[in-house]
Amino acid sequence: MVLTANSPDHVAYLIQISELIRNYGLIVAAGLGLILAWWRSRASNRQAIAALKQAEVAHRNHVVEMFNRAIDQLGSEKLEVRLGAIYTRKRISRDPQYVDYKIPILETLTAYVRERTRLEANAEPPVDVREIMKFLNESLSEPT
Amino acid sequence: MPPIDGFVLDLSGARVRQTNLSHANLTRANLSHADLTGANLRGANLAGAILTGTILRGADLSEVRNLTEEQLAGAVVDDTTILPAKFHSH
Repeated sequence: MVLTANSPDHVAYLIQISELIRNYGLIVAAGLGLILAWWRSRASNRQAIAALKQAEVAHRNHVVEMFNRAIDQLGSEKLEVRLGAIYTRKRISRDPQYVDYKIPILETLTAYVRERTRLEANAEPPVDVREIMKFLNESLSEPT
Repeated sequence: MPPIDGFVLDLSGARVRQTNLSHANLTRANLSHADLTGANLRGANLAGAILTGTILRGADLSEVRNLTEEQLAGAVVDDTTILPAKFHSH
């Protein structure tokens, strides 16, 4: 059979070809859309992870700073400053994220108790030492 | 709060009278020459704790665990020290 330009068969053939091209185009477009969506979601995820890491680093730095400041404050002459340092340490040591700090905190606080009370002649230790001893007892308590 | 692995209490030479360490895990703690006069150590675990020269006058040691004769012999106790039942002959 010979197809002429205006024959119905030729027109049907062209329609078939154009539908085929359209369908392939739609498949390619959908594929590209999927790739684009995946890429954008990956980029968003990466951004979110980076933001989370940044926040973690900032929080960690903040805790390190609080810990270091608390060491200085423990040597203060003002009772309220020393108590603040003790409460800060308590707070850090109770944070499950900072279990690494727990032992250094307990060691520095007991060192403080040793040094502060060595020459103490009073019947009872001073308020800050009592606060540390309360914290030590809480930390070392075994379930009864 | 659970006891802390890897931490050994060192209160050597400290004067912490009337302090409360009841039911504390004092395993291997260094309490040598500490003044624990009137302290509450009821139910504390003293396994391997160093009590050389530790002043325990008036301290409550009732129900303490793992306290040995040797540890007690090195500590300073008197009639006001409350000892666990097994040491009542002291």
